[in-house]
Amino acid sequence: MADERDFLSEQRERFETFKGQALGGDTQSTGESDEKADEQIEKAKEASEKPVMAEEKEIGEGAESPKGPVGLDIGTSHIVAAQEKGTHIHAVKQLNAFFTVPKSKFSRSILNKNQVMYYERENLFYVIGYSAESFANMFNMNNRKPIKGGLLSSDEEEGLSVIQAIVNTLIRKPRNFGEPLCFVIPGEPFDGRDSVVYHESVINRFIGGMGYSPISINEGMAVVMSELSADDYTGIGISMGGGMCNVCLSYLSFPVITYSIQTAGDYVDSMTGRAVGEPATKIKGIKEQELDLTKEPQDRIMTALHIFYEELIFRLLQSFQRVLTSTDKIPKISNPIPIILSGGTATPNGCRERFEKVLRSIKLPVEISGVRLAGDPLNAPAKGALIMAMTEAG
Amino acid sequence: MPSQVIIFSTDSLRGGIIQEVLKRSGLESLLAGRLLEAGQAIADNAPRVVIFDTKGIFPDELNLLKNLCRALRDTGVLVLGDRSIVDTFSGEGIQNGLCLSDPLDPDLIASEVKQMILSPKTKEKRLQRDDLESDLKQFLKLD
Repeated sequence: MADERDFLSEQRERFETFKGQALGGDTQSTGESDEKADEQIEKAKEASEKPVMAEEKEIGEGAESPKGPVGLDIGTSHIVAAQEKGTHIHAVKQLNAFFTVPKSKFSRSILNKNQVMYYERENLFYVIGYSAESFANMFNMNNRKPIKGGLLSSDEEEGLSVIQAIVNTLIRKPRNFGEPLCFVIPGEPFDGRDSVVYHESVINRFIGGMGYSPISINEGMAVVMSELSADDYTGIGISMGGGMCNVCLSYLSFPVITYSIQTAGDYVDSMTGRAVGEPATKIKGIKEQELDLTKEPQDRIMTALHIFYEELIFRLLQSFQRVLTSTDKIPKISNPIPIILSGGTATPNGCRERFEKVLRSIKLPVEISGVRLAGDPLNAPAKGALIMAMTEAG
Repeated sequence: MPSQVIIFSTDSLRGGIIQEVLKRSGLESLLAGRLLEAGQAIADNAPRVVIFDTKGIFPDELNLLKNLCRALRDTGVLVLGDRSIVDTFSGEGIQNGLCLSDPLDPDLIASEVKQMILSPKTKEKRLQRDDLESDLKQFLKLD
């Protein structure tokens, strides 16, 4: 499996080289048209220092047509769109979930009356975003997800159309055709079960179809772009999401190592749920509201959450150690490098400290200067994608 | 303005890192992903230093690369890659050559390139541009 992954990543790099050559001629010069590129990079660096103002998309609120570059993070739990707006980065998010209701005149009038976001296909109404969560709670059922384990779910035939509909609630067609939009993609899964190629290509097509110039960025790299401008974009970006943990070791903004593990927040929820006999959605709610990893657990749900959180961090760092010690791609790095944690799963109080504790017990071929939590962990990948889009603009 | 440094690397990450580190050291460079492009870039620019990254190249390309190295009698040459491959260049009669085996050490590469550029030997030999062009034309079969 590891050989296969190496082969795939090698092919990918060759493709990237080819793509670079196809776009930029046979040779890539640092001397030609550099001033403009440097100017764009400076603008992007400035943007990375701006604070993120985040908002959840209200039900019934219309999407805007962006002017300027856009960053888009299509995650397992949420979809986040980021744009630069004067003194800050504006991030708007929507739940990446749906719920189906049989089509009828009555249900249509209920949906319209309650300003629920939905679209219709064949004999069903597809209720999307936060509306789906409200509906699922109303019927005491789980909502459905178009992304599973960080990638387009093969179980959901309508997954892509749901994602399209949700993205359309956040952003519409750009005001200027061909505006750059950078979307976040996961790294190739560590255990090699799934591939990112289909996921990336399909999203690339639909973004292109909206009138944007799509570019993709690895999720861990997006974290690096968002948080490590002061470190010359050298360090390790980790995004701990719902379906996946994504890791990128970047050297001077080059993603030297990228991979993912399909074990993340959802795993903690479902394993805890199984251990204590409660539904995963209930555990998720408790985890998001109450979990504090610095405090001793007082009940069995908290005990189980602590256990599975520790296991997740251990698995993540174990994979990291295996990947780093089995590669010859890492250049000599003269100074210790930072690790940045981001994503919803990294947000509970004490997660960073737990991570540091497990990190101390493993040996890595690179020296680590410290572990930091991203400024805005939930929106860091979308912000990083926006910064990448800005470097490509103009 | 002709580039002082030409980098050949089929690995866009390694090539990009080398190019970036050189840029931070004040050296403009050209990055070529294919050997014939590298040969053409050398013929066009008559660089002071050429960096050949052997990582991931095919055996046939390796032989071509060795021939190209032999043709570069008057240019500083830096060969990078796995020790097993880099070592085979030592006996190839590369003048002004230096072999650095992995792991890739961007800072060392930048400092060696700077030294090569400042070396009076390289400067002096660079004046013999006509010879370099004819050797490369022969290599590229342009005659």
